Amino acid sequence: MNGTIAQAPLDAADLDASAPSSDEDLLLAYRSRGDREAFDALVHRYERELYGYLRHYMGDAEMAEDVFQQTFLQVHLKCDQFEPGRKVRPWLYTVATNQAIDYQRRNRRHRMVSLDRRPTRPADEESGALIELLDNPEPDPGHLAETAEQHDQLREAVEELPESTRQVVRLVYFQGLKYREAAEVLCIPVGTVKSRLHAAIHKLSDTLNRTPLPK
Amino acid sequence: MSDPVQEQLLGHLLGVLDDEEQEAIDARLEDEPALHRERAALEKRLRRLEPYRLHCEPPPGLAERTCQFVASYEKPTPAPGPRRPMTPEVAPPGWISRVRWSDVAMALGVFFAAAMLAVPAIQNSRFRAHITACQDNLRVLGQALTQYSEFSGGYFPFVPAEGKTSNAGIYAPILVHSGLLPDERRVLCPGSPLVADLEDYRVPTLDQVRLATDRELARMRELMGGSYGYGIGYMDRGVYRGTKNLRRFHFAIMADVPGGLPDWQSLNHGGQGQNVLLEDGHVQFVPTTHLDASPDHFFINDRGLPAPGMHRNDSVIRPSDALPLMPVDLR
Repeated sequence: MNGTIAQAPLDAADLDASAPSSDEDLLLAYRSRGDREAFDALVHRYERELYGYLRHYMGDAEMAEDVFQQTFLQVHLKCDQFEPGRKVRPWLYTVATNQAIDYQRRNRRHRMVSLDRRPTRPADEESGALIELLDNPEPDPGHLAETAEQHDQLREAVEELPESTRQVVRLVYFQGLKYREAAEVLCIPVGTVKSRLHAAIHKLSDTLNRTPLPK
Repeated sequence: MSDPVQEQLLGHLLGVLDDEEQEAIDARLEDEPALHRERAALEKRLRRLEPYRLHCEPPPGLAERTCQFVASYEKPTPAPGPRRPMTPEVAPPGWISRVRWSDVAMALGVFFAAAMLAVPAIQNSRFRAHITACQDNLRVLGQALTQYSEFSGGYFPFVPAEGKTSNAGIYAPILVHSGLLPDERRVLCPGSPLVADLEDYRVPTLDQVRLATDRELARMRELMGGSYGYGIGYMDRGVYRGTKNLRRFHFAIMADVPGGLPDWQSLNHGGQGQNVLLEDGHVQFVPTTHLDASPDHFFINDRGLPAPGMHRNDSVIRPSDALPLMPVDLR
């Protein structure tokens, strides 16, 4: 492992070279001038990262897509509330998290979320969550089963964590938010984020250590 | 359990410390072998977790669909350049006064005499020609819709649940905006009364729709989809969703616009049936409102309502001005 865990790659290369480079510049350009290209660039930049977060959070691909769209609708509607000097990334995660919570509240029949709930759709419908996780369009069945088993083990281990700790794991371990950014999103002290993550990593690795690695 | 040094080391390994904190740990690691050992132990724990990490790819076209979705809520922007009006030019009043009534009577007499002889054959010929031309239109629209779905994550143009673009006919401005429908008159069935009424017909741009006043919007909504109906989405666990292109041979995505005849039969072809565009791209003329390959009534959902489908295989084609989630006339 390298010194750091790689964060979700950005698609900045796809952006217009003349476009402002930072997230903050893009959002402020959209807010002040209604620059549609700036907004679109922001959506593209966070497509992979934020979708991944919501996919974990909601446990369902279609719900994650709905919340992703609602998140950027809120960005559009509430960009006036963004305070210059703040960072866009934690603000965006705050909006996304609130949207995810609202979505679950609205959808009374929504089942308890899991980190990566297995799809319950019929086999003939579009590809399920597991397939979406893999880069290889035609995965080896053995590898696919092994990966599924690994993901299930982590899912079960994470589900055993308290919700407040799960949130920290999602934001810091899976999404690569800095301690300070996660604290801002969750409105808790930075020290609490650190201690929760530390405890969670120990608990998860202990749990998985007791589980034999898939062959 | 809480150990501030371990917490900082964990943050250092994950790269989630602030720059100053990261540098501080770097400096300590150079001088403190014990800290190195702690870091190595922590790294081992993280390595144990690494194979279990999840990598979720977004569905193709998610960003584009999101931008389009948000654009439907766009705040008003300066008006675009002038375009030709959707409404037809009205003939100048008084032209008829230049024609003598005796001429009109003579012409009418000749016309009716000829019509008595020729109408049945002409009607039959025109009826067939209209069906064929209408099918050509739907094939062109089908190709445009398929191409759209290919760069939109597999989804056809989405009819939003609310906002100015939330009517079934919005498919046409979207296709034109995407450059996939160069000939806008393809949305007019030659058998439809609209063809005669709207010689100067143009599909409005998305900007025109967004900027329209309520009155203008009502008129645009009636006409933008032309003489075809378009499939609205379906409900999934209480959530309204768009239609994904699964190339189903039994799933209708467009058809001659449903009319006021019993069983919603279209008036485009004299109430004798309707052309239907299926998801796999083929077009068929059916005398009923059911497909040969499916019992699904394609103008209403499985509950018998002109409202979103009850499930993903429940096709519901609605007229241009129909809103997917608005209360409807249940007749």
